[in-house]
Amino acid sequence: MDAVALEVVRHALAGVAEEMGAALRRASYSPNIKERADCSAAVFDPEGVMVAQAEHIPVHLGSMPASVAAAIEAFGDRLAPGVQVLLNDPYQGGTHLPDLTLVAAVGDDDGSLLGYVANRAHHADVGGAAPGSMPADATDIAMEGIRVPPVVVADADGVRSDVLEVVAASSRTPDERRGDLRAQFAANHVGARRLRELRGRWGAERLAAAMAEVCDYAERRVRAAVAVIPDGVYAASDVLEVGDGVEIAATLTVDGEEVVADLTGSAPQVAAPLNAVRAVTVSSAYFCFRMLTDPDAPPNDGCYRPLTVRTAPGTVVHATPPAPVAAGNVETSQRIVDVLLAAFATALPDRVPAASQGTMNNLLLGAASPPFSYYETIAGGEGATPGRDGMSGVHTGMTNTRNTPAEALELAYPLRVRRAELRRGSGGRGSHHGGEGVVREVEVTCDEAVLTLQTERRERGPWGLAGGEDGAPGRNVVVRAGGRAEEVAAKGVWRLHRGDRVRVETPGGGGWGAPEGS
Amino acid sequence: MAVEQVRAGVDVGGTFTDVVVLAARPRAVKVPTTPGDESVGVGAGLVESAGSAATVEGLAHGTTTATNAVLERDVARTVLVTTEGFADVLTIARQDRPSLYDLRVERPRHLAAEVVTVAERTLPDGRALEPLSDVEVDRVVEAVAACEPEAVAVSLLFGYAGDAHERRLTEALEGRLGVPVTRSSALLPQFREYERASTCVLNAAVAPRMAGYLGRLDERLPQAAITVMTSGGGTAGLDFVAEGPVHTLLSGPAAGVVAAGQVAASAGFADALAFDMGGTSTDVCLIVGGRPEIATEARIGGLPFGTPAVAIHTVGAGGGSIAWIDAGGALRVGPRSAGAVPGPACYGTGGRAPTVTDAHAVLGHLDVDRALGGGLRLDVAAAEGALATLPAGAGDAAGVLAVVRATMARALRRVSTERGVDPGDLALVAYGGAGPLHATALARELGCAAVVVPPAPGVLSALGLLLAPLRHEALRTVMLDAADDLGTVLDALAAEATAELARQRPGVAPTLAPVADCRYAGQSHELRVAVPPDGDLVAAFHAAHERAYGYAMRGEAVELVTARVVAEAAPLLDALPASWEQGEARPDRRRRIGGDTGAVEARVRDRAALRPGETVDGPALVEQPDSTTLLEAGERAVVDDAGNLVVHLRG
Repeated sequence: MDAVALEVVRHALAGVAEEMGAALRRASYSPNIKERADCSAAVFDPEGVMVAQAEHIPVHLGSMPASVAAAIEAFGDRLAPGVQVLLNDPYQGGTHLPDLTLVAAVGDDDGSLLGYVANRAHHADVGGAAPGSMPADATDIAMEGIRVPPVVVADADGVRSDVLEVVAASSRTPDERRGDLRAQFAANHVGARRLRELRGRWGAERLAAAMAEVCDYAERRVRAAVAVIPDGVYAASDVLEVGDGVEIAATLTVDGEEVVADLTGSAPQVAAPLNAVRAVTVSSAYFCFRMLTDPDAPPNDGCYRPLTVRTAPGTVVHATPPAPVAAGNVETSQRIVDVLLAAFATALPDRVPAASQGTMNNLLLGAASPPFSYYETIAGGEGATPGRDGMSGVHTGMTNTRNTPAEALELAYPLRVRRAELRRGSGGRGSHHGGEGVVREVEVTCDEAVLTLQTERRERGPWGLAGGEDGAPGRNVVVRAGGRAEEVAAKGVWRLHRGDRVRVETPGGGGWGAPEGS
Repeated sequence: MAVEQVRAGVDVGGTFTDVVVLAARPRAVKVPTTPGDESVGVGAGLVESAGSAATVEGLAHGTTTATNAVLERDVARTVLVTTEGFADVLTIARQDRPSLYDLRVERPRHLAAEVVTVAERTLPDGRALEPLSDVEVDRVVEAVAACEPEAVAVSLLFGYAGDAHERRLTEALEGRLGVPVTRSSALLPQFREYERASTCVLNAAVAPRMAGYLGRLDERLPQAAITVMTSGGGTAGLDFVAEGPVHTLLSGPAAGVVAAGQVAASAGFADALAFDMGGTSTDVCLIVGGRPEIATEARIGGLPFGTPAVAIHTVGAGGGSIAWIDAGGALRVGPRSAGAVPGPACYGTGGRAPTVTDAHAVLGHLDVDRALGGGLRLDVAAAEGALATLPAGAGDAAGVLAVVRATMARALRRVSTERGVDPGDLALVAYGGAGPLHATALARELGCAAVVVPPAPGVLSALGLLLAPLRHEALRTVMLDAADDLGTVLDALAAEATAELARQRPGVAPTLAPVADCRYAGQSHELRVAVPPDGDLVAAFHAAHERAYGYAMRGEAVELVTARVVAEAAPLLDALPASWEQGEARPDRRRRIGGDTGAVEARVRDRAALRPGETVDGPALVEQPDSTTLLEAGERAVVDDAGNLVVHLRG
């Protein structure tokens, strides 16, 4: 395929994924998908190789292919054109339970398989022990909600609603689930139609060639970028703040145009929801790899061929049943990024930034009366890069969801935002300073509410690089109505009353380079 | 002696200032834009087109003064005054980063130099939770004064719901400082504190410069009634725009899509895609029912503004975009552009890199005999030389065009298929210097019903200025149940909108259209819905939701978030002109042109020679001074009664 054809098919295939993503957001019901864009869409060839992806959030980067692989493995030839498979089981192609993935096989007029389209959306509630399906005290996955292994939910005769109704009935907000699932079907419908259009325009042979060529193209771009990383073996480790610390250890081997990321030395899984399934770990590795090689290469299978990720089953980065995993997605993924970047920093001292806040600061407030459930992740400081200061008050790493404006939040919930400002002085000093964290203080204006926090980097702040200072660790504070303030743990559940406030002070980013005057 | 009084539309662009004068037959000229003070070029354009600026009685103006000030960050020293606890609202923004992976991409800094916070708090229902004391007002005024601002924006939390605190502060600041003060409850009484504060700061930061510019323009044309194009697709009076310059950030592009909508309608297409391809960028916009779609959020230089704006999507590719080969071996076009300087290689002005325009030159799409501006002639050999710098096998001129077409097709799908609109029902309205060269190939790729090229595609924005109504949109976030009686709210907004238009044009009798931003309770995303005459907003919302998103949830409660009333009054020109002053037509001729399928002999006709009812069969080129339409073999263009070239692509 020549240089012109390559660019034309790249646009066309990326366009299919983009249109699916747009349809998903357009048709979805809940703010989590529509506004926060916690969703992704992708196109696959008949072998299940990902050829295009519209990812709105990095944690879905490497985990979509796992979903399609699980669907193929579960159904083989029965995954025929027109069949669609739903799944969320983290142990069979999923990530954590709120992420529901819908895989559709797309056929040609003669019944032959053209490929697959798939999309994933984070549903606000899939049952389990707490609203939002991320209970901080879960000790096994059954406490986190309904578990859906790959199941057929549509075939040539149309959508089969039985399984969908089980999913809806398991949720605290069944109508919302139906609306969002309908959006997922709409997205696959758009993707399938567009893929068939390309087949009509190009012919089956050229479509297959295009799918292969865009992957090879991405691979060439990424290999060219890896080639300039100095060969060597680079290691780093860090801990999750559970008990005495749960270690995540990585060894990177850079050899020519290829990289092996070995995380087999990480700690055994824990009886807390911080375990990451392998797909989440792979996504984290893909994120770092993409950031440091060719950020603009089309996100497809070819990009990641030069990267091998090794994990050991039963560890915190490769959980096995029945470990709970809800926060593996939102917290452990961030720490894996930190560890891999720390290892890359030795190889690429002029490229790698200091550590960013390394947590998503999950804040949940809810009550039975009046019934409400508010979930938010809070921005922090970005690590300084060799070229500039870190950004302040921004999402980093594996997430990029937007905040809820105070003026929207107070209209929707019995809550009042007292403060949403930068946390001055929290960024690590350096020749480039780390970004500042955030102070978000929310007051309860109803009689009683339950507070859940899932946070990290409360003990040691995000590390600086090249002589830059660490960013300040975060703090969680509950201020009682009378004014008494108590610092509370990084993770846990508390009961708040009218006038009580929770103040989350998020970590600053690490500094880069020795600060002036030191 | 009586001098003929004329009306004119003047659109200032990056390189040229376009003027359309309504005389016996409309006449168009292009003069160079005069950066620094656009009014110099405006005056020159009027002299060239109308003989004298003094004969202009009505002027509709598209300006880039505010836009350039923001993009170049050449703005007034601005202080934001906001509620205590929210000092960093502009920095935190919505907490997302602009690029997921690329560390080089930073969020743009906002334009406020300083922020001063106020001890006060208003509740969502407008009552004061924490009153604003006189002592605090004095303290704030002194703190702001100490910053030595040139402009101030006051945007307090829930200021849209209760404006008492904002009003007191604004009065005190104006009395003490003598600089423009933008008050959020006056400019944009709409919820979401970051977007509102951003809009206010953008407005304040460009207000002094805009007031100066409009003053100079008014002095230059003392006898003319001047209106300025706003981003929402209407015009507004000078005083309004001087106080609210944020309304002009998409001034020129909005005029183009307004005209494109009317052009499509004149050719029999209610729904269309506007496709404006210029030198460095391309604007596309969906037209529904003859009118451009209105955006839910618009941005300039990465900074959001909430004032009404047409939903234009811009891609960084145009005639000057440079072709190159990337690390994976694909041919890419843009985002780097040769711009006006050094320009495409074929202009002979120093450019060496191969551009889209060079590809057209090599393929014979451009007329070598027509003088470029400044007496330059097209240098085809230079274009060939530039394309030859691409590595062997990287693609030829036709390849460059295929790639730029893929980019454009994706942009057009963004505003059509991605919004659930089938391009098969749409006409592609092509304008801008380069649009008509790409139009039919693109329309075929998208499956559009037809291509429409207006009579003067190079000056469509200037024509749109004349066609755009005087318009004001009064709005307020109200948060009501959509099933409630909305009479009181809508009556108040109607009175406000009518009064504002009467201020701008005394004696005016506007048409009023109530509009509601609604959503299902619990959603976070509103849909703009016209309030139907029977008042059943809930039913109208379900229907609109079904159209936009493919389903409705009829059992769910519907929330009215923001109520609006749009008031409109007559434009300077109430219908598209039927014929244009186009100068002498040259005789028909033939030229060899290249394309995807190799070289062919093409007819070349002057647009000035074509009369309604005539047809042109491809392969052919239709040439006019500022644009060329390319027809491929098998395509037939018909000149319709409105003077449009219409190419039907199916059936």
